[in-house]
Amino acid sequence: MTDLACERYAFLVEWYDHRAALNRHYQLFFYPKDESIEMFDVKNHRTFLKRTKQDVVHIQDLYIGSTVNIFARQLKFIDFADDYSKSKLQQMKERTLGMIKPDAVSKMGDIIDQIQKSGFLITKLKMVQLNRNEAFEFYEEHKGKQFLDNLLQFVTSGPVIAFEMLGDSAISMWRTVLGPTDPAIARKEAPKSIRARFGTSTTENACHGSDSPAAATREIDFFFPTVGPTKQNTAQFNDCTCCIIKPHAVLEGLTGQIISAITEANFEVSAIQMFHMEKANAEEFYEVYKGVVQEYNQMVTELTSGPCIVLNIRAKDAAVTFREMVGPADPEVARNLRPRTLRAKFGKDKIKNAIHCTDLPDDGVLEVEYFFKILDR
Amino acid sequence: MMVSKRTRRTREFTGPTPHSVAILARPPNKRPPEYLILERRKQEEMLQEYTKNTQYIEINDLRNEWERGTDRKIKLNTAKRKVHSLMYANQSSVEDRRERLREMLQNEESQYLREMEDREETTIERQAKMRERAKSLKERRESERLQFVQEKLDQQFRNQCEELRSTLSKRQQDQVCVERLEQLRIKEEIEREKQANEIMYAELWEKDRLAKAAKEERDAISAHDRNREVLTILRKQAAALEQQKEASVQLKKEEAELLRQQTILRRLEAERAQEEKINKQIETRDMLDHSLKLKMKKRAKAEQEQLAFDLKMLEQLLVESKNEAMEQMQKKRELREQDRIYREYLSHMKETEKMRQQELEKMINEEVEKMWQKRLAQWQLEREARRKLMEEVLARRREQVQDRLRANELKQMEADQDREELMKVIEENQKTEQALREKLWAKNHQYQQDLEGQINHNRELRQQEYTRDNEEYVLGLQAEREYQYKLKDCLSNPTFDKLHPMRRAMEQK
Repeated sequence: MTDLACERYAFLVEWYDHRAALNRHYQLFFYPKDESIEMFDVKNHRTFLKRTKQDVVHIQDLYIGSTVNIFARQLKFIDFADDYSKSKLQQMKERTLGMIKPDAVSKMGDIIDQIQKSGFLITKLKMVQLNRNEAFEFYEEHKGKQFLDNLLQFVTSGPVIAFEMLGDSAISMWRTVLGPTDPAIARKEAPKSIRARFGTSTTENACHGSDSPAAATREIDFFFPTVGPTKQNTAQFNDCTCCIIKPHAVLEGLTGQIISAITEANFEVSAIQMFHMEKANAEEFYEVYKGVVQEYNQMVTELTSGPCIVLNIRAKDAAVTFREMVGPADPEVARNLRPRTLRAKFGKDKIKNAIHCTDLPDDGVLEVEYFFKILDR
Repeated sequence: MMVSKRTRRTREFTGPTPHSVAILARPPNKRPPEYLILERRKQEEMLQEYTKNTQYIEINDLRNEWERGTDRKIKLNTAKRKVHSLMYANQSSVEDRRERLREMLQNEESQYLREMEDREETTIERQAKMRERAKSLKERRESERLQFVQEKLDQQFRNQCEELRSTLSKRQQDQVCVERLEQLRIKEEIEREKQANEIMYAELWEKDRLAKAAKEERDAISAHDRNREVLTILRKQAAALEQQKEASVQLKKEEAELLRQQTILRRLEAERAQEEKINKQIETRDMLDHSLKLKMKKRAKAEQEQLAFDLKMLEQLLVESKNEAMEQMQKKRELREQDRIYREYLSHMKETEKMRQQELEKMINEEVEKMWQKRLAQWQLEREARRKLMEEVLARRREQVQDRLRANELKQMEADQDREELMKVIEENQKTEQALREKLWAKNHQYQQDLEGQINHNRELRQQEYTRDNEEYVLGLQAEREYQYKLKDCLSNPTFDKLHPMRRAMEQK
């Protein structure tokens, strides 16, 4: 009882002070009992924020790499500040890597939905086109096996979607959710598993999952390197428009449904990636809305309040048609007038309207380029 | 090389004979007469050339520098202009986009507004909708009613089928029996646990009590020990005080004894000096007397010998003169004469003797006096030395006494201080003891108060419990009465009892 009462988790967080143009470091303490937080300035050795109750940070937000908005400051979690939180949370928040193979990319909406319903938190996500060398590097452990050549052929045949997942003993959980390697066996033993639903053969089995913590670390580092060049994304900058699934929708687990809806409407998703937006970037991105819509500042805050998922959508006359599908900016209006649009289905209010889409037809390329050329370097 | 072969440097030229010397003519000056001026001109020219050269270089440097700077500035400005124009273009494009966006959004909004207005439904539509809704409601109600009827029929069957009921009741009874047994077992177990707990607490309490008793005993013993220790210390201190007092008295006594000894010593000394003096005087007189007697005896002997010899000689002479009367006569005269002379001489001798005697006496006296003086002086010296010695001894003794007195005094002072300190310590001890006693008293008092408070609290609790029990009892009576009434009512009007919720839950499982 007392243990729970005085329990607290400590993290190192970082805040980019744009006025001083430098990163400031703090220790953030989270008390799970009443969900209050406390911050300590590491450099000046003094309390920065007294213990305060708030409703922004919850226990599921506490992982390395997450971003939260606390009192208009966007804080990024860098590291654990003590061994207790590390040991307590690392096991609770194990990381693993999942990859949707080329055959199942078209069903990514359903797969992501199932992932989120299984209780995983997706912290990084990116669509990548692997070349043969990269694929060989990734499947290093299968070196010398006869099926390797087929596998490489298959993996490089189209884009794959790699994602990092967080959850309680995520590695084994993810393998149970995936089901047996052979979809035929999977259909018998675990008909609800991903491979049973979407796989076709032992090679074309829809998804990949790490099988040990070491492999998970290696594979995560392969797709999301902390240093060095990142993997090339698959964005194509013609006939395209930009769609952003806003942080609130990502947190509510609507990603899968939204993507399914988009793919079902015959839009081609040629690139997808998860971004943690900083305030400056968000302001730059929303530059054109400044002075045009009243909610500009709230829009920026919403976009920076957590991870968002950006999709590069292609179709003929993509900007206009996709915008029609997304519907009016205000979900209330949308529910009244266009009940079948995405915002009517998933939006909450004018700020948390689930999806941002390119408004001006000419800006589609511009916005896609902003994300996939400038931010993802 | 030979000396002669050395070429000469001088202009002198020696000939073959001695003193034949020729002098070579001085060679003419190679430098022109205006050499210095020319030289100076040359230098100035050179200098001028150098300055010209440097000036030229400087000018070139300046020019180059300027060109470079200007180039850089031009480049910079171009870049700036370019950036500015790009920025401006971007700004204007953004502005343009904004304008378009605004227009588009406005259009859209107005369109949506229009659509909203258009969608205001007509009366017929509304009626149709209402009809639709009424129909659906009616259908739902009908279906609900049918379901209810089915349920009731089922219930009726259950209630009326005797076989079913008897079986059910039998089964129920069996179940109840089993459960009752289980309950009894659980109850027993709880009871056992409770007893074990009680025993454990009793043991704990006993242990605690024993520990407390032991602790009290220990405390008492330690307090007793402490008191005894303090007593012994106090005793020791008093003994030390007593000893010091005795020592000081002893010191004073010693001092008095010393003073008395000193006076005795002094008196003895004086006596001895007197005695010695008298002894010396007597001795001297004896010695002098003795020497005088010896002298007189010697002299008298010598005189008598002389006289005897003289008389012998005279007799001899007289014997000779008998033969010669004349001669004798003559001789008698002569003899008379001689006798007279002799007599004179004798008297004279006597006188001289007397004189000499006197002189001797005088001499002796002088000698004695001198000796006496000397002796006196010696005595004086001795006495002086003795006195000095005595004085020294006395002074040393006095010093010693003084020292001892001082030491004594010091000791006394120290003793006083010690006593004072002792008194202080004693006082302090008493104070601390007093404080301890007070603290103990306060603690005990506090404990007493706590106990009393606890007793009061317990009594209050008991009182409350009693009142609560009483109230509960009254309420229970009331409830019992109500229950009996209800039971009677139920018995008079029996209905189907529902299953026990627990059982229902179990069945559902």
